[in-house]
Amino acid sequence: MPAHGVTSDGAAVVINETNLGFLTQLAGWARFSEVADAALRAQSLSLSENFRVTVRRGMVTAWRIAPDRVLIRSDVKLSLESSDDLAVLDLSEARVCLTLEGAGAAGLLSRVIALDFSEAAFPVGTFAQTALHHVGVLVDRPGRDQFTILIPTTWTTSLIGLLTDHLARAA
Amino acid sequence: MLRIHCPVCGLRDETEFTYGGDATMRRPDMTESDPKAWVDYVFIRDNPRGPHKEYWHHVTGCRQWLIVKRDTLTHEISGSYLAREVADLADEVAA
Ligand SMILES: [Zn+2]
Repeated sequence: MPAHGVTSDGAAVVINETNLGFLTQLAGWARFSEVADAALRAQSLSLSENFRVTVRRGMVTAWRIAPDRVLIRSDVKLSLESSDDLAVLDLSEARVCLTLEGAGAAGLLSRVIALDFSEAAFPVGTFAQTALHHVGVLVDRPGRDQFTILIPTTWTTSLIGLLTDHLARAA
Repeated sequence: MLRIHCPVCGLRDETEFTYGGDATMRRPDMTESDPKAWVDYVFIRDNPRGPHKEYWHHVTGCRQWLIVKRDTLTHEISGSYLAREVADLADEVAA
């Protein structure tokens, strides 16, 4: 790492592993929207109604990954506490963060993930939870030629291998 | 290849989902003492040709359980709903 390569279209890609920082999951039940929004507002964030749009504020990023679940990536540990209505879970060790950068990043991803990575279908500022080699991952697009992928820690070696191998031989 | 609309995530490839079985089955009342009712509920399934309601789990996406209306003959999908919203609706109707 970093791994450099070029897709068959001649577009460059750099794959890197970066520091995830802290990753916190909030989950809840019937009152999730109200309770999670209150907890996030105390951190100067808010709960998105949208399951595609990434919420960014400074070094903090929030993804509403399900009706009653949100993932928050931050550079410092958030002071969120569980309550009867909210389950706070530290997932910082459970995910590893990869970045794909370069003109070929979208092309490489479209060869290994069954999603449309065109800018129209996957605009900058949106995210998706999807499958990479049948493993659940979260793909975020902070820039046109820039993707962030959260992968389960136990799959780090396999999935980095899959991406770099694909880039070297087939993409 | 099937593509299934997830109410949370949008249109996705079938490989992101796992099939969860017949969504038309209703559990007998917990006071039911006739073993046949329980055998039917646990083991007996029709194999319909045509429109059907099925559970699908968006396992590598939002992890929600969906109820998908799918034609078993044509594979045409005519609707998909969050299973819990359908259950809420059923509760409202029952109440
Ligand atoms: Zn989904």
